[in-house]
Amino acid sequence: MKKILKYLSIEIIVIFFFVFSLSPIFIREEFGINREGGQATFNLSSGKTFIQIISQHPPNLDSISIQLKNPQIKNNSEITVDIDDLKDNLLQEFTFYGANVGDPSWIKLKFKPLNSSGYKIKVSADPDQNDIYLYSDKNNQMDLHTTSYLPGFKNRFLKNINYQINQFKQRSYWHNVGYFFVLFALNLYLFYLLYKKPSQI
Amino acid sequence: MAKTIWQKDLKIIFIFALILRLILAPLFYHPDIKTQNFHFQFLSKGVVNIYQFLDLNRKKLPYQDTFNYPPLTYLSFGIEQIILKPILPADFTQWLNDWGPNQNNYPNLFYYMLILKIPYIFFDLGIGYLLYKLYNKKILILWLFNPFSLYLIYILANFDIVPVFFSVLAFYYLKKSRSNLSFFYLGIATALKLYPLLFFPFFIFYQKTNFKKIFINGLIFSLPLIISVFPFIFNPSFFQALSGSGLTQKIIEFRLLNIPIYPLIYLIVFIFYYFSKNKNLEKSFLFLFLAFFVFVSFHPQWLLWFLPFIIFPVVQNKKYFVLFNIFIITALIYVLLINDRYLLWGHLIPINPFFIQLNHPYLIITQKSRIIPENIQNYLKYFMAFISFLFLAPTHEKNS
Repeated sequence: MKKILKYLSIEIIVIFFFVFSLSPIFIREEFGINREGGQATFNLSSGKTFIQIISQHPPNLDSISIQLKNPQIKNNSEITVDIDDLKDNLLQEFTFYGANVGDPSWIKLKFKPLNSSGYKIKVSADPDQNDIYLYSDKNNQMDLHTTSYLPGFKNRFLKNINYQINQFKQRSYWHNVGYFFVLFALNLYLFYLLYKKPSQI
Repeated sequence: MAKTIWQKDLKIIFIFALILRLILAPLFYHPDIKTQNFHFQFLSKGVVNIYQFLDLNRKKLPYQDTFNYPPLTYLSFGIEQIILKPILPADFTQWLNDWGPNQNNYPNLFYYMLILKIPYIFFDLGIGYLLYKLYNKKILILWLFNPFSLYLIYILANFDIVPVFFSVLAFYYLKKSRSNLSFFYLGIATALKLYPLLFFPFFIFYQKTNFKKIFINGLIFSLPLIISVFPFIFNPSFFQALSGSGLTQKIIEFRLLNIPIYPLIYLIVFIFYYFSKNKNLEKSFLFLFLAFFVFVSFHPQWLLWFLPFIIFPVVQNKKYFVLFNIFIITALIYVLLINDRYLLWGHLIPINPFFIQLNHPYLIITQKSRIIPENIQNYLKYFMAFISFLFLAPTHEKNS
């Protein structure tokens, strides 16, 4: 039995290491909103403010990413992003310059986890003769990625197990069956090779 | 009896190598496998001249890059995709054409990766078998279970393993003195990806030869390339796309006193090889490999091209083995510093798509310090050059 255990333990270690241990060690966030409309619609250089309301979000919001386009990187005005709660209390404020914006690029803003029932994201820029655009979709919802912080290794480990089970359930049923059948059959054959006398092979 | 035990051992090695590959293959992703298969899908839609098709339709397609490989690559992998399609999950085509924000969120990505890499597994095990036939069990085990080849074949997952297989097969037949087959397979490898052209002069002069032999071998070698390229030679889109592959430019990029260094070293290695009595092809390839990665700005998957050939000289003596490992680890650190978010965490998105959000080393260095990662890469290249230099010092080789 020892012989096959050596091989099985290598297989289990490989699976455990990649599938179950890497995620909880390195991934300390999970996706919230993931929206890309891909249209450079709102020109911030006019001095107007774009307001996006997020009526609900999972707890521990810790980053937002917005997509901006600075054609030929000509605009270097000050860009402001405010995150308010729904009662207009300022929770976070960020400023950066047009020179930091690509043609186009995603700007990720990280902050300490926030726990509000909803948020208002306000994006504005100082008026400038060179255009700078905010991306949004056809319904005027800004291109936005958000993440939430996941505290505690144990919590992340259990969440990852749940996540992997859900992923497995969402995969094609017959592929799941086929894959495990092939792995099982090959291990069975390995067992046979390891324990049968050479004359029987 | 001894032969049966030997066969049993071999079967155990191959079955375990297969299991390990079936476990690893679906866990890793690199966009190259998607971009290449995006292009290959057009063969099933009746497109034979992919170069012209992309030239005319690129702006309408969700992925707009050119196809920079020879026609045989497109045709053979296009056919491979048609064969594999019945066993691929139903949403494969949808994923292949999805370049939007949800492109990494397909649960079946796990099985796309597994099934698209199944042919790689066969070519990889095939190389293992050829190395076993050429050398011994130790080389076979080193090929099948070394983390570098597993990384290059199943994590980077480029199709380079296929031309590598054909170039090893060519080497096998060369050693068996069956030069016709050897040059035919080297020709196939070259028709898939042009790099085996570097090996051609070494193959030609491996055995005693004369002008007639050179001509015949050269003709056999050129046949697969001529046949597969001929229908496209009057097509400007073809030449335009192929010139974008970059290998030729990269080889002559590094210059000293305006002399391209890699071609010069190549010539020196070749002259030594040509005038040597024992024609040690593996050792010559080892020096070409070292010089290539020092003087050429390389793509990580290119490391695979030389790997099967140089395992034997490397394991023959301890000094080479230690130096080689240091060299390869340095090369991999160099790779990790490339500004490509798919070259570390991004590989793991079949396990969890959030991995793509993690900062890769290039970003961490630029965000947290004033150091320019390209400068670190330059220092790593100097270090690799130093290690390569140590290879030149005389050694005592084991006879095996």
